[in-house]
Amino acid sequence: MKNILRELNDTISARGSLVVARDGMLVAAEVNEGVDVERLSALGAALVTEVGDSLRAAGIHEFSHVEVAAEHGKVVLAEAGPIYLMVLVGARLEIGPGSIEIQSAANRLVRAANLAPTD
Amino acid sequence: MGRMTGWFGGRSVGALVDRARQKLASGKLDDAARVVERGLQRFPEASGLLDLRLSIRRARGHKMMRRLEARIESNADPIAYEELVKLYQELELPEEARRKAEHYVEAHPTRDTPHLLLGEMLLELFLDELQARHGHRAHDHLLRAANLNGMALQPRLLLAELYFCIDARGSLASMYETLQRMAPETSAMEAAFAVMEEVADANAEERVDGLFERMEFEGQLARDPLDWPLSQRRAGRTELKEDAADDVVSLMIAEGTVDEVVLLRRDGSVVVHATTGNGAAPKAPPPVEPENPGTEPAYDEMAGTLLGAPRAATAAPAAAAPDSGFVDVVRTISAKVFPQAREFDMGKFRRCTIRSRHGNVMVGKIGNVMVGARAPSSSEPTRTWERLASALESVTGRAAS
Repeated sequence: MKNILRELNDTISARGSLVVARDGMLVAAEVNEGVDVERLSALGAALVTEVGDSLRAAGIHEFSHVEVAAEHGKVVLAEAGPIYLMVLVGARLEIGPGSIEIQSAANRLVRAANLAPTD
Repeated sequence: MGRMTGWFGGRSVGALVDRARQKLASGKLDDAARVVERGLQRFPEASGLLDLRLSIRRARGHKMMRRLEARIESNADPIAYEELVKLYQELELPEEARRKAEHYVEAHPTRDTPHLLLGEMLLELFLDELQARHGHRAHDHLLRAANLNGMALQPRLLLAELYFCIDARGSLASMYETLQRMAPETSAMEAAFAVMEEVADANAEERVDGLFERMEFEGQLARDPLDWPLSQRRAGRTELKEDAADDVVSLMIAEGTVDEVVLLRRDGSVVVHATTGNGAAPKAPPPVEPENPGTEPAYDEMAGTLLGAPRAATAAPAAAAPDSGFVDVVRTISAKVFPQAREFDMGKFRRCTIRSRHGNVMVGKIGNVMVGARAPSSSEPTRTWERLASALESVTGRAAS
């Protein structure tokens, strides 16, 4: 998993990426120097659990992508079967939840974990 | 409402934008400006035309920028620095303005003005993004400006505003005393004095540096900057016109652009909540002011619940909200996701977008409110958000003085 994350980081010049389980637990992470992996995984856990819970309460039972966009960067969370791939990138407009590199990494992660893809 | 319908339904905005773009591309700035201004007379809120107006102003500003840069290069002319900073601000290029102010400070470290200019910009940035490092730097530069010019009111007023917002009551008391000695006599100052009299506490002891960290951790200021009587005098401070926002939201739901919209005040209370079918939900009453906000840590329903901050004596406005559901989604994202994402130095937040089979959710700040919208899953979130933002920005104006 770490290799997949490292390759993804190199390909899209991401500052870091990680895999988070549906219960918010960190599965694997690969981040550049200067990125606090604990903080990044805490954000991932908050998105998956707390935001997920509030969405379910509002009738939105599953989500496939989350993007938190700022002036100089964004956080992208993409569903990868029973896990989530989270990526911290710079302000590149073309990188989003639908980006082919992120989708491809998500599919590889599912295979790497020997998990059946949902799609 | 008719005006908004005309805007959304009209095709001629696109044609005007195309014509103006062609003129701009061929360097005919005056012609492009004429097309844009004529268009804005008919469609005053059209975001495409407003963007082009800014592009034209920037294109015109480039010549002036080059002249000012040349003056700076030849003799580090302080006036040229100040004009250039102001020009960048007018052209809505805040980062360039800040960078130039940094250079001005380096070139003239013993002048008070560069410290004041940079300090004010960093103060705005801190109030906007709540990153402690911006607060520390704003504080340092404003103190330097005040120390370098013992007669200057402005850095002291900005320091007082900063102390007010972070609940540094002891420091505010000391600044209140200094300002009283300087005795400026204007009605605006009377209002500021009244607020300082109420909030300042000469016996309070606080570490200002620690307060910056606390505000960043809590993701919330102790007091709303809009409650500072002089805040409206600074450029860019805008406020949503709540009644008009209600109409705009209802219209967008009626059009089918969005299924549900929530607008929250800074304290988490609901300004507008409207959904498909039932229109605008009843409004929550305005938040109740705490009797003594300083006795316990600043709190709002969002930050307190999610970050584990101690519950204060403040009324919990969320309890007065008309319902939960989607409102809670917006509160959770606002209170949990944005403050945590702030840790990664990504600059000012634009929005959080969530895609699902059950619909797309977008949450972000527009003017002084946190806006959440739910739209059909077939919708394009960026386009939906732009329409909503343009519509709400059209009912956002300078705060009333």
